[in-house]
Amino acid sequence: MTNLDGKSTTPPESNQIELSIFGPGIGECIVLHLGNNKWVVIDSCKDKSAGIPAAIKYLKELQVNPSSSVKLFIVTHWDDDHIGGASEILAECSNARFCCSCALLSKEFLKLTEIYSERSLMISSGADEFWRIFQILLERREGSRKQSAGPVWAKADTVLLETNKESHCFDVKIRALSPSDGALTLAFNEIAQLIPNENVPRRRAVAQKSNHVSVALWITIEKAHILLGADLENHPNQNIGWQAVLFKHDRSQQAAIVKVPHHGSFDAYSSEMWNVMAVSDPIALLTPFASGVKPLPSQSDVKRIQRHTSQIFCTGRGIGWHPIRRNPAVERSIRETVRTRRLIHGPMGHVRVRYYPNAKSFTPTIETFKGALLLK
Amino acid sequence: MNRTSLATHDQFSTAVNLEEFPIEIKLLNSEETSPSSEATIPSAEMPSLRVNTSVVKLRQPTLIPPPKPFIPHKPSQRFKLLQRFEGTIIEVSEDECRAHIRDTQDPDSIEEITFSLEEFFETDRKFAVKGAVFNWYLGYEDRSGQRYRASAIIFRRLPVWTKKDLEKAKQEAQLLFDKLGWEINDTPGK
Amino acid sequence: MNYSLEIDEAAIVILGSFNPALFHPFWFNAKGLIKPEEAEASKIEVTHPTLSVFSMDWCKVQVELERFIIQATNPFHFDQILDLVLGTFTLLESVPVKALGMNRMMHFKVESREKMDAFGDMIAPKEIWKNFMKDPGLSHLIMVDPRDKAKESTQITIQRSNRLELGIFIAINDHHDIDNNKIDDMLTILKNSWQISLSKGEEKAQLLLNKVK
Repeated sequence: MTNLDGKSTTPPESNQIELSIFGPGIGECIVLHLGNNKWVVIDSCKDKSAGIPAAIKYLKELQVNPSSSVKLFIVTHWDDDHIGGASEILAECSNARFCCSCALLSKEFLKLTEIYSERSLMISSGADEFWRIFQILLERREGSRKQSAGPVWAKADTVLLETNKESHCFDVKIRALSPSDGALTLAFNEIAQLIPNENVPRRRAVAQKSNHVSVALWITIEKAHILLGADLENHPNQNIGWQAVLFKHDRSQQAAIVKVPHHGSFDAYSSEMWNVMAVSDPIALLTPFASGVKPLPSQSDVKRIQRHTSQIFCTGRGIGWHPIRRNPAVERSIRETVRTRRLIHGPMGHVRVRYYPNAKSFTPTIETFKGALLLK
Repeated sequence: MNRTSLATHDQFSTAVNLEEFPIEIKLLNSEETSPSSEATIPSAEMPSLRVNTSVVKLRQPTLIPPPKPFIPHKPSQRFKLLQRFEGTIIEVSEDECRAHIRDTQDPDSIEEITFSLEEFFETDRKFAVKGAVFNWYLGYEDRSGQRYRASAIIFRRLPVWTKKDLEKAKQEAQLLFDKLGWEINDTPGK
Repeated sequence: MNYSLEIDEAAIVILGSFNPALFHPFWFNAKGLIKPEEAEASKIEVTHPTLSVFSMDWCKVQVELERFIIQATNPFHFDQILDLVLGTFTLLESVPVKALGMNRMMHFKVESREKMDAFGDMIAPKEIWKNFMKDPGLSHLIMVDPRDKAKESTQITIQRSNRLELGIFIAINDHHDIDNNKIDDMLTILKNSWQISLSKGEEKAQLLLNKVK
């Protein structure tokens, strides 16, 4: 593994696989090159300096045309930190299939997005972003591209994308590991409970803890595997969460690259997942979550993951940043009012892994940019 | 001119202006009686306030009667806004709030703050729940020849969800669902 | 030209058919639209079947038979008047409304009389007036867009400020006719357009003021 000083705008070669992960402190996004200029985008976060989604900014920097080259856009969860700018990605990637959790295929979720799509609140939430996604899908359905208009609804074992050497340079398969059927039932009830009652004042929708509906992914490219853990957590019910995934997993397959689930949190940690689904000392990638009383990953979270790998790359430190300084009178007033304050949406850290799938041995190059680092 | 415009004209102008019509209203105290029509506002809390409408005078225009002028409120203090944040409460503990705030000029920049619930007026503290939205205004207040720094955290008093709103959302969702024609077993992407 | 926004006010005006006697601070409080403390501290100027006027710390409300006006006297309360109008007209769903106006009224202090005159000369050149006037000066100017009557229009009023020495007053009015008296349509326009109207209003004013070097 190396940390090169090369510019981040060098595109991958056509026979090279790339997995790039972006994280600005709150939010994450993954961009995956499958070879031959075919790309997949997973989740979305906004690059605040550019004002556009990080995936779009990066692809354009590589001179990749998102509208023709992105084949699939997957939203693993409807939490605000996975979906910032997602509707812009979908609009820009006009030929990409859209994929999201099957838990959102319900009239209750549509009703929720209708309810929270109101513009009387200035800033959009995940539900509002989804409302815009559905409007784009509707336009596509009513337009000329009816064939590719419908979303791919992901649940455990759904194949989201599959190619072989006849149509593409590599055998590629992207399969959803979750949500399980048990998680779906739970999710439908939880979403229904988020719908406000009559005579309750309007508020912003704050996503509940429902990470068991997020879409974890298993990617196979030729003989190598990649595990993207999304926000999937453990659950007391063994038909939900990592236990449900492990029950079905083919133990002969192990991932060389792991996107650590839910920012390395204790609730998403499964030693069995690392032992069964990953090689020894895999490349581990994660994004921080700088919000809350206990930002993630904590020191103990990192130590826990270090039992399984020494290669933990994080897009940032996760403790937040100093807020920008404003007018002195404003700063004085803020200091007099708040007890604590930090910027949680900071510079866009980026970790990039590239490798040749047909090489004799797996020898990836790993680069870190803009505050991303190897956690020790 | 738009009839919803409120632009006030120079009060020193002597030009005839359709918008400038003084209303003279003599307010009677409770002892006075009036022979003409009266309006009494019933209220358990407030004493009756009677207005003698015969005293109301309007300078008759030469054209069609204009709407009554809006007499602007000119408060003795002045506020200069320097910064506005929009905030959402994400967590409430016994005496403290945790919130995400965004600069309205740069909404992609998110700060997380904690502050005491005492920053809210006592009767407003019940509004401090997860998801509640507030505005935080910072600036100066000029009052009686003195400048003060001003900071106000004000909850949005958004209208409640009515049965009609929820029913409308349900119908729109059904319409969208029907138009989208989704089925669970859609073909995977290639 | 150096200038600063010294007095910043906004107002929502609704044309329709109203019962002014209804609009009393205690009615607003009873409906949960304002706090009891606000109702008690309010100053009632008139309550009558044809006219109701009262003010609170943060706003003034005037209701006539055909016009409802609420004005916020400082930018801290722009969203509060929006919320009060949304709440009020959500309850009064059967009141017929004909038009909605979103108003921003700004008084800018400028650095000198010369700069103020230069601004007036820029928006209303004086040469033609000097043919028959000795010393023409701009009193007030109103521009409307579009020129002919339309469902939606913007009106900008410019005059010398009557509240600032060396000040320019610029008022922006975004007007919307409401089809079929539908309150829902009015509320939707208000929700979607209030912030935009306020911010665009300030941008337009600054664009004009920045034209004077």
